[in-house]
Formats: sequence, structure tokens, C-alpha cells
Amino acid sequence: MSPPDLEPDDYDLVRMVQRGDRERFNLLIGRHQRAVFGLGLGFFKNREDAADFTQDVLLKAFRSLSSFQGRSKFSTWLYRIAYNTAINALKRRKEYVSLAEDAELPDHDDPERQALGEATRMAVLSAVKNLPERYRICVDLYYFFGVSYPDIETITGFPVNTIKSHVFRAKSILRETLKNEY
Amino acid sequence: MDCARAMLSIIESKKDGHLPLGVRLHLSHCASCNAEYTRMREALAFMRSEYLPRSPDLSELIMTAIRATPKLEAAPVSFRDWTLVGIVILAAIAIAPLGSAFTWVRKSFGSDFLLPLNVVLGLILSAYGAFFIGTHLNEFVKRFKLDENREFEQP
Repeated sequence: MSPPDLEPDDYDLVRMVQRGDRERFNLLIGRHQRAVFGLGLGFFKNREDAADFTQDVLLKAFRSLSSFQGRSKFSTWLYRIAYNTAINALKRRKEYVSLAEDAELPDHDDPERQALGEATRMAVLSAVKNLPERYRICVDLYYFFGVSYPDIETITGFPVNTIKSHVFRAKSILRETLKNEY
Repeated sequence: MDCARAMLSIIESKKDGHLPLGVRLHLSHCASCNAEYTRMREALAFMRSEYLPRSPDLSELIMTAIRATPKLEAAPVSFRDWTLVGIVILAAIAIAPLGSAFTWVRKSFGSDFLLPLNVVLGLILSAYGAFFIGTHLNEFVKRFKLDENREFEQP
């Protein structure tokens, strides 16, 4: 029998912070700073700006936490703040570079995993290369952040059918790439 | 369900791991589709764990800034929720005379109970309305453009 899961989920942590236990926000930072930093890299293209962006977004999230009512996932709400912050910082230019373009895959001892990593990276690259920059984030949100279609719509405000068609194409390319590789 | 339709359903699924029953049944007896689906899931899991760039640890910096900020305001009940509950209370009052309990009370006590009942209901509604407005002053001012130059402090 597995031990009970004692780790509070995001929603519980938010409630604790809302009730005044602000130190709990540290756990939320630990869980989400990597994702926010990843989004920042996609928009700002360098680590220093992405780090400043991450701080800015997480502080904004803390300050607006009283408006979070749990109707969406905390991560979706946070990514929406991140997306809006980035768009405003870039003066509404929705330029985004996919994480697949600059990603460096760490060396793996297991050649099969190394091959899988390369194949998936190639699949994302082919999926985003013909997309306008503003829509590339949809593919990244799906692939790298595991965000569902409706949540991508909430975050970006793009029509769900547009998101569906871009992500559908990206998934089809992944399938074909994996078929050819194995 | 044939293999082509099953794989199309997998690719069309809105969220990873949430597959229709027909697709799950197909995967349980089709080894090649199951292997393909597993590979895709592995590829996605791999991408999410390996490709997302490592962030520098910013938690201490952020927490220092947070500790220096004033206390958070308590989460208010939303304008919409207050309105919905108000509508439910009004609807309950409106349909109450149609119920059998109300008919029985009217038969037993005549119309004498109507005045005190209306006074009590009126007090409840007034208290609810006053509390609603009192906790949402700023929103009322904004929504109804009562006075664009004045700011009310939320309690």
C-alpha cells in the first residue's frame, strides 16, 4: 500500500496563503518558477531577462492572489499572468521563439532516450517552423508545459479552433517522426 | 474501432491521458497502437522533464520581496456569486406561496401571519442587500459610474 500523499496541492497552498500564511508561497514558487522561466526565455531570449521576468510574474501573482478563486488551475492562472506580462513588456508584439529552437539536450547514457529526445525536438521544430511567431507558444504550451487546449485558450486568448489545428498538426508530426525513428 | 480511428482520436484528445472509452478498449487489445501511444506519451514526458530549461533559484529573492509587502486582503466573495445567491433568495420567496406548507399555514392562521412574515423577509433581504453593497462599494461605484472621483475603502 502506498503512503498517503501529504503534499498539499496548489489549490490548498493558495488557500493557506490567502488566509495569511505567506511563507507557503515559497512552495508555489518552487513548483512553478521553472515553467515561468521557460516562458520568459521564449519571449525574451536571454536568461537574465527571463529571470527578471520570472520574479516579476511571481510577485504579481502573489499580489493578485486574493482574486484567484480556483475556477481554473493555479498553473493556468499563473501562465495567463506570465503571458500578459510578456506581451505588455514587448509592447503587444506576440513574438515567441519555441524552446525547441535553443534547447540543449543533456547527454544521456541511454542511447534510446537520447534518440527519443532528438526525435521529439525535431518534431517540435518542424511543427513550429511554418507557424507565425504569435502562435508558436500554443505548441510549446502543449509540448513542454502539458497544457490542455481549453487552458491554452484561457492563457493566450486565441480561438480554441486555431489552437486545436496547430496542436493537432504538431501531434501528427510527432507521431510521424516517432514512427520513422523506431 | 479500427487502428486509424483510434490513433486519430488520440491525436485529437484535448488533454493527455483523457481518452474515450472506445479508444482505451482498442488500446487494450491492439499491441501496435498501444506501443505507438506509449511512445508518444514517453516522448511528451521526456520533453517536459528534459527540455524545459532549468531556472536559477529565485525563491529567496521573491520571498524577500513578498515579506516586505503589506498583508494580503482577504479574498472577497465575487460580485457574480453575491448576485446569484440574491436571485436564489428572491426566487425562493417568490415560489414559497405555491408550496403546501405555506397553504397549510394560511389555512391554520388566516391572513394574520402575512404582515410579520413580510416584515421578516424584508429585513432579511435588506440585510443581505446592505451587506452586499457594503462589501462591494468599489465595484458598485465602477459598474454604475456613481462617482468616478471617489474611492471607497473595502472593509
